Amino acid sequence: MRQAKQRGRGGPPLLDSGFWILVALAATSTVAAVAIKGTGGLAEGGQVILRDLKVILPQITLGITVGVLFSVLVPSSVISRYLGEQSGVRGILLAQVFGMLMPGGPFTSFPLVAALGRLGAGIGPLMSFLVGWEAVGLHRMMVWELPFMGGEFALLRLLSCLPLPFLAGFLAMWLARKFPGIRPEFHG
Amino acid sequence: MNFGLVTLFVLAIVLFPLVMHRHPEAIRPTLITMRQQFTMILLRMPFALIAAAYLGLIIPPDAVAAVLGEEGGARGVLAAFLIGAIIPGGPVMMFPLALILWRSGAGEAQMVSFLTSWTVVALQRSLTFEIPLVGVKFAIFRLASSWMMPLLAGGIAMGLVAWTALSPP
Repeated sequence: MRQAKQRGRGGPPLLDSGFWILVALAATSTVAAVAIKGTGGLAEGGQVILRDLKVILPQITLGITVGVLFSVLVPSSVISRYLGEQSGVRGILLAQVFGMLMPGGPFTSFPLVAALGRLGAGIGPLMSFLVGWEAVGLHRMMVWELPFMGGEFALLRLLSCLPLPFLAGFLAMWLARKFPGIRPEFHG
Repeated sequence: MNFGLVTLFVLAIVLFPLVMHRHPEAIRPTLITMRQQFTMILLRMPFALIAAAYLGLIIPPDAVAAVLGEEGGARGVLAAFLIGAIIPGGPVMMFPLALILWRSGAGEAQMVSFLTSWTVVALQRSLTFEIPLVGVKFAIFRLASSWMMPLLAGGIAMGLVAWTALSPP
């Protein structure tokens, strides 16, 4: 079923459930806006849409371009080569940097974390890597946050999140030492 | 001029020759990936923006401001954290929604908490990706070592916002 929806060259499925949820949400909110505000609301919303398209479309075009180029330059194989052997506080810091640079969605990051765990990366660096990707994620920042929220907000969130991966890595290391029972295992 | 647009433009100008020079063999697959992502996003973006615009018209700003407004302070950061943790959806849905909330009167620090919670705690992502891919034990351990991080980010942002003044684009 899923296979049938995918296009020939192995791209992502074009019309998945997320797409139809968006369509339904767009239809419902338009109907609701007309019901509440009348047809004047339709025009008012139309102006907002046009203004947003003018601002967001050029940025998201550039964002995708930069995001794709970026993932060519920083492939996950490079990340696993450098991260597999690192541990301790130095490893946590390095892992934070790699996590922040790591492109791609959850389909890339979680299998990579499992692979790194099997290669022997420490739990601290693993968590720092993951939180770096989650909380900062420069790739997502370029493709989504800059276009929608603007540079100043992206900068504010970047600065606010900068200490988080390191702290999470450190906390993970401490938790794994204090409560060895909850430490996740990575089986080859 | 728009800071975000300039940043992206400069990055594109720097990265393109770099890829051409270092990975000339990757140019073709890169262009194909770009086209796929453009098609994907161009199909979704209009609906996301329609939903965002009309939801923005009917969501009462007073209610948003009361829960997530700057005056809400730490309580608002906590509310934003909880909403961000449970709300499902990918970036095509989240960023237009974040923009509506911000325009409707949410504070900047609260938005930092909201978006960071959506990416860090991400309970729905846990169910759909993390648990199937790396297991329940890992998911629990990850939450144990990182669930409080968005609140910390919100707190840091509150401190930073006290110096600056931001408004939605």
